[in-house]
Amino acid sequence: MRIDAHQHFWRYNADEFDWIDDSMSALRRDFGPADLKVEFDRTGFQGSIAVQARQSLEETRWLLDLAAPSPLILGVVGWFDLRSPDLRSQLREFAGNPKLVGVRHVVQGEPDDRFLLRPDFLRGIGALEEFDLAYDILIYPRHLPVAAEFVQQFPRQRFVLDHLAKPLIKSGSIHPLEEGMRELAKFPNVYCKLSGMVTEADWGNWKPEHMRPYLDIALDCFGPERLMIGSDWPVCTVAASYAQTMNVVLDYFGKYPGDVQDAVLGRNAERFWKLKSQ
Amino acid sequence: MQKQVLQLDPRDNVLIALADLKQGQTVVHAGDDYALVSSIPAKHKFAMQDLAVGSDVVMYGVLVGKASKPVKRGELLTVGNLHHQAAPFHEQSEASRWTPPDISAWKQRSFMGYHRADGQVGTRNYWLVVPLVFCENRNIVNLKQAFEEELGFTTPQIYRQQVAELARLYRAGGNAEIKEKRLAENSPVPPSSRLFEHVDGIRFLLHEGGCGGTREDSNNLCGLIAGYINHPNVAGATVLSLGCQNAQVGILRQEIRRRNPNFAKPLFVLEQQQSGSEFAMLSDAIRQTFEGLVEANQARRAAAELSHLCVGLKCGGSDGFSGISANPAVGHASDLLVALGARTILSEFPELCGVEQELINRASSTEVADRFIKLMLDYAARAKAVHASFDMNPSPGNMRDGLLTDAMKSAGAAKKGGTSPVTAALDYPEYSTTPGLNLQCTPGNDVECVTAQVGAGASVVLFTTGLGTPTGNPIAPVVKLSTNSALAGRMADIIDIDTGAIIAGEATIEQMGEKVLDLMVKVASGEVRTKAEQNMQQDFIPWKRGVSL
Repeated sequence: MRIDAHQHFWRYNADEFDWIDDSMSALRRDFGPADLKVEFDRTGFQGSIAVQARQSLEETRWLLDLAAPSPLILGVVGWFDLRSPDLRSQLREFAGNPKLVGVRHVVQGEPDDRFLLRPDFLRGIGALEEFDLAYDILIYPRHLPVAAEFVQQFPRQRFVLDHLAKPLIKSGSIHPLEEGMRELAKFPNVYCKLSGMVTEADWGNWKPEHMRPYLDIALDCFGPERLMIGSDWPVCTVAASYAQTMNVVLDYFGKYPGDVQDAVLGRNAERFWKLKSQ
Repeated sequence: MQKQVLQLDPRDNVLIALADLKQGQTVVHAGDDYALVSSIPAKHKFAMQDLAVGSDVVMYGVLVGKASKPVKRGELLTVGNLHHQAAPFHEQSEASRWTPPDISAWKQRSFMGYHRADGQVGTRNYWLVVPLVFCENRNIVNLKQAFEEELGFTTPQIYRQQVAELARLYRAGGNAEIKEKRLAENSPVPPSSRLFEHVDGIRFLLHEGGCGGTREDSNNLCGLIAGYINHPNVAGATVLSLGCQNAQVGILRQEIRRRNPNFAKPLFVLEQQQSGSEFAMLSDAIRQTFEGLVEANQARRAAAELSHLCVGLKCGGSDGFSGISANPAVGHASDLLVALGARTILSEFPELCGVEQELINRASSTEVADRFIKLMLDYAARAKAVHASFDMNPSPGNMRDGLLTDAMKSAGAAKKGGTSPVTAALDYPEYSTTPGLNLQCTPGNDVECVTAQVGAGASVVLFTTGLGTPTGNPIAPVVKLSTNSALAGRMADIIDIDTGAIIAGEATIEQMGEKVLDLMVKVASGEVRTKAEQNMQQDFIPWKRGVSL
């Protein structure tokens, strides 16, 4: 089964989605499961992990409500206030929902570069294992050394790095991504999503070969058993169609054996998120 | 010792020779001796009992003819002593029950296909360029040359090289050498590199229709082309229209909507009488087609259930073994596909003559049965109106090889449809949408039939042949199965799989059917290219039912 390990849904409004600026005006509309289905039918993808876009419990609830009747949405990565003393009661409210598979906080938006290491945040992460939830690390390359320090403290917690830490593809630079990723990948409980790359490239002029150096690094660091393909749809559509976005990764692995392709295109996601076979 | 003769059904009163048998020889079948009063070539039949004039001759358990002269036990049946006779048919009296074959080995199997936005899954990824009327054929040829050469879709031109080589010798005054010249089979020219590597090709169709004939024919042509445009192997299409012809653009669009109300593929229609100059139209066509190719090149194969397959079942250049080896093997493959939820299409109505009642009884509903009866009677009446009839179907080659009457040929041809229920009866050029075995009204002619099956959505065609025929299709792979091993050896360049092991007693029909399905899945996934694809055999002949006006 081909699984898109990272996509979003939203009901657009200017207040909650203020990060969608004029250059991304195509994103200023609603995106729901029916829209994703169209892309899936064209590309043969069959399941997705829907990731939070807003930082609220209401977002988590809304995504889980979308997911409940949908055979497309295999899992939801929601948001919880990880620093709150009430975290456990928040988690308890959702515990038992089979489609809740992970948690994410938009750490890339926090002004403190060492946000991941704040004691209250660490305490929150420490609660996730008990609820069998994975954690999505959304950061920039400069945060990678901090992330390594962070994951070191939770050897049994499942982590996944979003979007290869958003490398500076537009500039062509692989530093400091390479060093940081190599450190983080040393921890076997950390996976990496091959997603969101076109958005970090020159939107109008990217070519698949611009992504290749970053895919080389990710494959070298994590190996084929800890990588998952993802789209970051609909955000990716500012730079490419859904098919073009996925083709970057599909074509990169096209020359690898079928078993490697199966792993990156679905099996790793199934294992990491502990997805029930449909 | 290998069996010398075969009785296909306990009700039969003829035996089939599996090898050449001599006059005076005695063969044993089921404990009885048969002294042969004439030599019986392999694939031919002899009588199991003395037959008086007018006696029924039964094969496959169905009536296939009547003796037109007295025939002795052990005597060869020929066109000289046997006349076509088929059993009459009536409406469905009893619905037959079906036990599907065991598909546990196939349930987890998938094929790698091109998923389309409408939910169909293709086995190839082509761009289509097609004229609505023959007046545009020259423009299509010009586009073909321009695109194929510049984008690297041409194959090494070995015959062109042979002519060039002879021309070189002639210029050098080597007339004697020309006679002696042995021409190389393998081309030294490397294949050109394709610009759009995820597009299997651009298919430029040519035809002689769209105007001048009956409105029914030009409407059917629009329907057929709509079927090709809607086909899952097609990413998008460029259509050239003149403007004033019978096959109007509006009719084409209507036919596309009838097949797919949510049609969403790129479709570029250019009309010469609107564009003005040919240059203006072709320049637009080139730019739009190029943009379409850029989009088509984004398609990638992904796993799909076998239920997404639609498989045409066809025989052509049949011999006396077709109905014994390859056709039943294809029939078993069809039964497996049907049990897996796929569609299969059995066509060539003139070759269902004599087995109508069996098919009627297999219909899943009386509506399907009644529609089949209506289509069959209508076709027979049309044939009669032009002083022809179904019994004229067997070709001289068929008859030389022991297929003496249309009913005899039909009984063997229908074996391709296996044993599953008939779930739909389609008129030409309707599109197939119902899972299960579909009957589709087409002529027996190989190319007209395969053209129609693909127009109904067949994404692979299984084609059996005993005499050897090169048939292929522009957009769907045609897998060719030989009914006998001698043919597979002699014409290896056109045969994909040999079912002769059934005749030799080395494989059962079920084993061969599974082998056929296994190869077909590889073909569907693009792992194997058929011989017809390698040979660039791209036959396209729309069926014309009417007279020219």
